Amino acid sequence: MSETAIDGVNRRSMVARALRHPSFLIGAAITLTLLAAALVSFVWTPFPVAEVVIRDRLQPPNPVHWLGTDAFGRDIFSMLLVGARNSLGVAVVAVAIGIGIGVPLGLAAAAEGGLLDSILMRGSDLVFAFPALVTAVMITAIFGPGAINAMIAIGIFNVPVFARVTRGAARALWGREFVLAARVAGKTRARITVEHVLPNVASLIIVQSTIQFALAILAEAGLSYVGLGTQPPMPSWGKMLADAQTMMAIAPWLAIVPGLAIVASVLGLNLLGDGLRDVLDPRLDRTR
Amino acid sequence: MALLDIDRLSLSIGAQPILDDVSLTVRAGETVGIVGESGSGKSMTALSVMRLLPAGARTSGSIRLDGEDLMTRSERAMCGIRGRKIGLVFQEPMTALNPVRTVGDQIAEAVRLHLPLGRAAVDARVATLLKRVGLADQGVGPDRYPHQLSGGQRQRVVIAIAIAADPKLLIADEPTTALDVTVQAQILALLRDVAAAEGAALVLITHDLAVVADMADRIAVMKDGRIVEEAAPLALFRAPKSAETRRLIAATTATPRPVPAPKADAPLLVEAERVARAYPLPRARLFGPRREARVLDAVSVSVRAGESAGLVGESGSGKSTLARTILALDRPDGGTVRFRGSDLFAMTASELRSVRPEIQAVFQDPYGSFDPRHTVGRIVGEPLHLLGSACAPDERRRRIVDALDHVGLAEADAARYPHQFSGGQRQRIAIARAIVTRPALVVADEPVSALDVSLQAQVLDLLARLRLEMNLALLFISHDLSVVRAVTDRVYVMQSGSIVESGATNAVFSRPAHAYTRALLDAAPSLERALTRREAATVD
Repeated sequence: MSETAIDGVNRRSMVARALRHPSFLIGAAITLTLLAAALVSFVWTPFPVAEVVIRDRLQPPNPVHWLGTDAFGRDIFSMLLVGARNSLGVAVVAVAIGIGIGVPLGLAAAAEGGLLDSILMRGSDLVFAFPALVTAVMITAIFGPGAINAMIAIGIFNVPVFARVTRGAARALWGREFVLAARVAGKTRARITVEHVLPNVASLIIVQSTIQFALAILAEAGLSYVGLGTQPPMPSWGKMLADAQTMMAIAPWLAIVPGLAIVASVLGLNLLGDGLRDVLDPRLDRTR
Repeated sequence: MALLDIDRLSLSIGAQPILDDVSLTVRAGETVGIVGESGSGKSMTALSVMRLLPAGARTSGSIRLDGEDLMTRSERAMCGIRGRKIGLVFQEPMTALNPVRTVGDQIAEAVRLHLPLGRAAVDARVATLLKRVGLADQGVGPDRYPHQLSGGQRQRVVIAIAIAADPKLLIADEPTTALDVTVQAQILALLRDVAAAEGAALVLITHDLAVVADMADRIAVMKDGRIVEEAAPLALFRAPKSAETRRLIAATTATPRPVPAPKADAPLLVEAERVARAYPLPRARLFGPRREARVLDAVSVSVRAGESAGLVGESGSGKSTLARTILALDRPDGGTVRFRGSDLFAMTASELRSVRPEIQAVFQDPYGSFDPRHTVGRIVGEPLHLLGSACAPDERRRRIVDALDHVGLAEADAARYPHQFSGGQRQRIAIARAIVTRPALVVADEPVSALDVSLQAQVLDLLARLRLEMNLALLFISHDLSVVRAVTDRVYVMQSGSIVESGATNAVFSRPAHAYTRALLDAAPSLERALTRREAATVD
């Protein structure tokens, strides 16, 4: 048997598992829709997103404005598309900050142990000790509201999450015999981390990313809701919710549409994360 | 009438046939052994009787206990039979007990479930059971938690739970495999004793021929889901009829090819001198004195070029810690380890790298010692990076193929992944990795403990062949005395962090000087000894 054939079997079984997994499929479908909406908004929206047409204000959903208009006559569907772009953008950067800093810290803590481990883990305890959203509010209040500061604020809270998850899984690997064998083979800690530890914790990090991604979307919506996230005239789902609040009785769709968008994307990402966990975990193959 | 009557039992899980036409009877008070290698269907037979099969299992045939057909019983009715009429003793005493409940609680639960007793009567029954399994004599009361007990004591608790409701049938599935030899002997004696005293029949499932030869009245040999032979121990082992029985006996008694002992003036490879290692323990009180567990206490061992030195001892005696120290993986708290005269722990990183190709290792777990994401070729070639630029891609490839060839694997296997190999083949891969740098010494830490006997024999013979071909020195670490006896020239006996006896293997095994060595030797199950004892008993 050739190498490619073997490799092919493994990949095929993973794809087969994915295609049979309902929550993976639903989650992937929702996430792809979200992504498509964000990408489409760069090239096309039914109406210019910041265009105020007072004459058309507070229209319920109709053939021209598919999801209606808000108090300034702006097209809700267009705002939803651009809002998806903002939510995703903030979430991507926030998760990237978390992975970029948290994963190396977690790997280093697991590899070195001792004092470095203690310092890093007590440091992450410290970050965990502050309620995340409240501190994000504080950071944006000090450095000024805006999407960039929201990304950084949310990103900071992702760092200890990824550091913890990575360290836990990596430490378990450091006790395994194949890592011992690599040490007998004279490999340095850094090299063992890159060759053996990281690839074996990667699936865990991917799954955690989807969950953090969902949390970041929620956090961005929360910051925008209190006016500290994405700034007008850029639309964002949280801001749309905040604007809709006073008009719940006369124009309920204004709150329902962005609310559903937030719920759907969080749900979709969580389903995707659950699905990925099963798809990437080769142990399931053996038990079946 | 037989107590347990399994008639033409077949079992498949999914499309996989597991048991094929198994028929076995157990009479009241009798001990029946079931032996076979892993995957032969021993445990599945027991689980079928308990109706504890995994999801997707399909069975045919009948299982009668006391005339009652168990196959047609509802799950609810089975709950009244498990524990009440059949007691089960598991292999792993740690996982068979609930860690957050006291042992008294867990025994009491088994009593209450099946016997209509008041609180005082239950407590009295628990006390009786603790006494019955010898825990009361060891000062273990009902208020202890599982983690406070040793492995043997935990297995006693498991036995107490199994006999809590006076079942007529006890099923013990590899009850002593996870235990040390001296503890194994005690637990087997207890099982025999308990079964006799309670008048219960015992079904003993094991891979160890010596254990069944000693314990069972009748033995069934299983292979590929079938019973291939069934007979009394003497008939079975003295005049085996099936090929599988002969194969098992041959594997148990096989000795690897002889390797001439090295000359007395062979140079010393490794000298570990007064190596000490201690782990800090949590303080007993907040400001109490620091405590530590001494794992190695001034241990000195040495291995000459081409020599095979053995290190025996029970779990927790410090064998593996010593191995890791000699492999320069862990720094000792005291003492020195010299390789060809230079101190490993005084070396710079680059000096250590130049020594590493000379000392390689084989570990116990054929499943855990490979990165599941790497191909066999990459795994075997991993130590080659130590040779640096001296090992160009061509040379690298040649060495990997050569190492695989040495252990009896093909070049094409380099492209496959470890999970595609069986346990015995994996241990060959581990050995190939250890010899790829052409080391002078291989430290083998329990290299065959996780393998079936027939694979053990093959792997031991492979090690012997490699010693002949490569003039390899071996530090062979094991709890299994018969294995150590077969493959080593010299042996160190280790007990709680100290070497209590050392010398030429034959001398130590035939004339043990230390009480602990004698205890180990007496406790080690031996097929020949068990059969001789039985023959003597029939003559009387």
